[in-house]
Amino acid sequence: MAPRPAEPGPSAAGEDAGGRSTEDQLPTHVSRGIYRRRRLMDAARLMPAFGTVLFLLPVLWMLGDKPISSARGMVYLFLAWLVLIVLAGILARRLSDPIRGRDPQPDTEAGTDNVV
Amino acid sequence: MSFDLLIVSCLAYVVLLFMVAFAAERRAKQGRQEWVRSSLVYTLSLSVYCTAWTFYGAVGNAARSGLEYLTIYLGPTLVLLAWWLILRKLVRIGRTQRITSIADLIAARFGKSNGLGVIVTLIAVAGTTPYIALQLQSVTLSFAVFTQPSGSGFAPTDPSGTAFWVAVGLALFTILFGTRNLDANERHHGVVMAIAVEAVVKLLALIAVGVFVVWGVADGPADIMARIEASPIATWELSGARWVGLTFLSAAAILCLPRMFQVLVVENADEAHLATASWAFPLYLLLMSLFVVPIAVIGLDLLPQGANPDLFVLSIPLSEGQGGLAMLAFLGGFSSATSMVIVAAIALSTMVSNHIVMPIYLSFQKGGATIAGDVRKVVLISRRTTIIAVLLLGYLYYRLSSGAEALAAIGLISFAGVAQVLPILLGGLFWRGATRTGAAFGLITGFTVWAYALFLPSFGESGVISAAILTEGPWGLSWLRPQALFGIDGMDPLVHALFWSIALNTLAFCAISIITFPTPLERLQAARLVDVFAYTAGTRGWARGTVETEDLMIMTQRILGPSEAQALFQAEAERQGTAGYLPDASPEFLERLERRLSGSVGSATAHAMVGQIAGNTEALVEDLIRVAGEAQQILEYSQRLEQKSTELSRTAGELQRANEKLTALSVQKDAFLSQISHELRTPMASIRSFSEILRDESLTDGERTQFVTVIHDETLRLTRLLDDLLNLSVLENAQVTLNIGQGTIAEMIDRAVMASGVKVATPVLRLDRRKRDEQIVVETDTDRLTQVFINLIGNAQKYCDAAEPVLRIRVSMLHHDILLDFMDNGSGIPSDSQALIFEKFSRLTDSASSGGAGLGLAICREIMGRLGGAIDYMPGQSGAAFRVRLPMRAVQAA
Repeated sequence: MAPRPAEPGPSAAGEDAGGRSTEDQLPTHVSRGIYRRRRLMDAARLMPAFGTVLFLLPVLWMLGDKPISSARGMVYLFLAWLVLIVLAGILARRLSDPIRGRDPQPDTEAGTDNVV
Repeated sequence: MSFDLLIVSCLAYVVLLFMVAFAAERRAKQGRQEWVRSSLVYTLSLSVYCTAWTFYGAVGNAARSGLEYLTIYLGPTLVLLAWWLILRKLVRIGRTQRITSIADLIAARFGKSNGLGVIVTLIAVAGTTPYIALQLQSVTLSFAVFTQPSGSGFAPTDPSGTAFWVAVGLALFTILFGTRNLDANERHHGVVMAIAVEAVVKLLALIAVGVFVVWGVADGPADIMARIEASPIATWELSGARWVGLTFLSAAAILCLPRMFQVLVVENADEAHLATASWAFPLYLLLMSLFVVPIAVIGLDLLPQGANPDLFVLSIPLSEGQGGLAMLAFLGGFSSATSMVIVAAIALSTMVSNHIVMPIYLSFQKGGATIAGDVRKVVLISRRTTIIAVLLLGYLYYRLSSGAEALAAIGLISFAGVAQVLPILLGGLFWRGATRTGAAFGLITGFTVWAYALFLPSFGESGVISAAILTEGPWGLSWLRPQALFGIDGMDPLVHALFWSIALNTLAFCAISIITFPTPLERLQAARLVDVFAYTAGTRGWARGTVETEDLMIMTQRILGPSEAQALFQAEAERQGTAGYLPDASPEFLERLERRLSGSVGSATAHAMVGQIAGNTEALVEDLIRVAGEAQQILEYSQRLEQKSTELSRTAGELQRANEKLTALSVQKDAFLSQISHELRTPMASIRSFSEILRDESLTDGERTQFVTVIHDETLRLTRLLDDLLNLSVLENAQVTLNIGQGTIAEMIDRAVMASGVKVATPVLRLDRRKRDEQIVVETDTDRLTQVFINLIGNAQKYCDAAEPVLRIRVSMLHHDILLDFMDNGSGIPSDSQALIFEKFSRLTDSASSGGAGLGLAICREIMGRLGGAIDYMPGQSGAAFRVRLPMRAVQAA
């Protein structure tokens, strides 16, 4: 017999309940920690746009007349890639702390995308 | 290096995989999942994205078109960077709704519509089968490299034989580890672990070859850079459209490919793993692509002209005499191919069995899931059969498409096919207004355009699309040419097809969604999925009552197996606090059960099965909506009733007020009658008695004259009274016609003074006037106004009780009104009587001698009303004071 399925964890339920309640109240001023965290979320949302700009930049190089060296293009793309990975790593680390349950503070806004 | 050794190591590798998978399953079963379900394993399992096509093909692509191969990795990097925005939501939905595949997600989102599930499944099969064929081909080709003297060409002795046995082996592995558990939510620990190992193998293999090329063949990075500058791909021939298009395509693919959805969403154990994957998977991709260009450049440099660049990874080590390295590279390619095929087969078999086989099976079983045979067995058999069928299909495709070129191109083509799900997926995730009909139209439109503009032309001119159609368009309609739709010529065929299919797909999806109306269940699901972070507890309910728990138990046993079903029911009974195995069929339990079952057979099927026993929930929701509608009608009706009743009570109130007014008027009339009879009676009585005395003959002349004078006076008084009454009644009934003329105030006051006989009466009333102010010409009924003045002056004369009575008359202007104040120096009128003085017959002192009937001020008020002005008593002056307000121009009041 296969093992019993895992029920949705209590942490997930708590997180959602918390998210719901903030959404209902929508406080204007939040503590510094929560504010910081929301800006981190903003950064996480902006990452794909930033990455897209970096990766599509070579298309603009084509507007010039000079031929582009593959070697230099390669170096640029890999460097950009690496920068994105490092940034994503920092964001992921800081954003995922409450999800992993290491943070004693409940993650009150993990579920609310609209709260500023 | 012998072919036998190759076979042996290949088999050994497969055995290793089996062992890894088996060990992982065991560990998971024992509950020691920490390592098996770590974020590292999750990230590595995502590498099924890198198939043999990318393992070998990336180098080939780089050798042919420079850096373009990178787009295939950049797209997924962007998607992983968007984990917070998209993937997190996807994973949360997958977990809360127990989603088993991308088709299941689309079906669940649009009201558990199996029709949509079928469409997505068909698209997935059409898009994946060629890709499986590609994997088989790459394995076959790589075998061939070893059998042929160092990579001069490929004419494997029995290529299809190799492919066949590879396919059989893969089918076996997939069935063994992919269909062990029925519930997709239990996750395929063995498979995921095996894939993670394969991910490490292929990464190591490629890096090993890369390191060998950079430091073994060339002299380090600087030398490689120099060689790149000197190679045929030194300049970057970048096509903007292709660069953007391919990046978009690969980004779409990682979200929509069935196998990617399987590892990304279905196999995800913890949302936090996404955070790690968001940077670790891009890093993996970076490492995978780091040495591609160096390998391509060295290959172009080292190997003879005409060598297949797709196999440089193998042929470079072989030509350099590095047998071991070549073997590692071979295993890398082999593992890329196998992991892709295994996961794709699992994903496709889940989709096919849940959305196509099971609904058909259920519809044949008329009695419903309870009477049907062992559903669990049917599901397993259907999955296993599907796995074999999918692999067979891939094999057949490989056999039929003989040319290697056609297959190489198919990778991107199938990406584009699967990408048709993207607009519906994203729309479904973020837009609540997206409807089932819109999604179906979008999918079909996109799929049709893709097939017409890209897929069918890919079979070459001998295929379905002939050369004539390509150049002239069907029936000579040039704007329908498959590779130049709407007359847009000169675009890269792939980008062209991608652009039009996605654009028209999105257009159809949005437009139809906007004009159609979703069913209740669709709206419910839309809210639950789009706002997944707000909802977690379910809101849709099964109605309690008619459900037989025993039937549910029987059905569940058939899907989950007896022991597990019993455990589930027992746990539920415990939760509800009832003894035994059978819990109440509460709505919460039904919902949990449905979600649990959907992990095994997909949401649409599970919904249908529970629905067969618990009553059709779709009808249920619609019933509810209907009931709600009726309730709404009743509410509206009662609101209307309420409105009417308030209207009625308002009317009643008005009637009551009117009645009160009438009663008051009647009282007034009675009072008036008694007053008037009294007023008439007094003079009449004296006239009668004096005329009786006059009949007596014995009166002297003096007496006779005196009595006749009295009678005359009384008659005069009567006449005056009757005149006044007539006057008042005429004024009150608005029958008066005003005789508008012009005159100065002074003239009118003069006339009034004259008429009232102030000069002759005693005591003499002194008038205090300011004639200068009175020179105002007014347009009014001068006679009537004079009458008012007469009354006021007469009153002052009659009632002013001062020793030397003085009447002050002041005229002033306020805005467009003339104000005339008549103020005497008497004691005035007591404040409690001030309200009465304008009433009829109100005389403050009952002095009949004053000769008035008490109608004077009432008449004055009526006259002033007619003239558009007013007359008021002004309290707070030294004596009685009246203010007459008159407009400059007469207003004819109706």
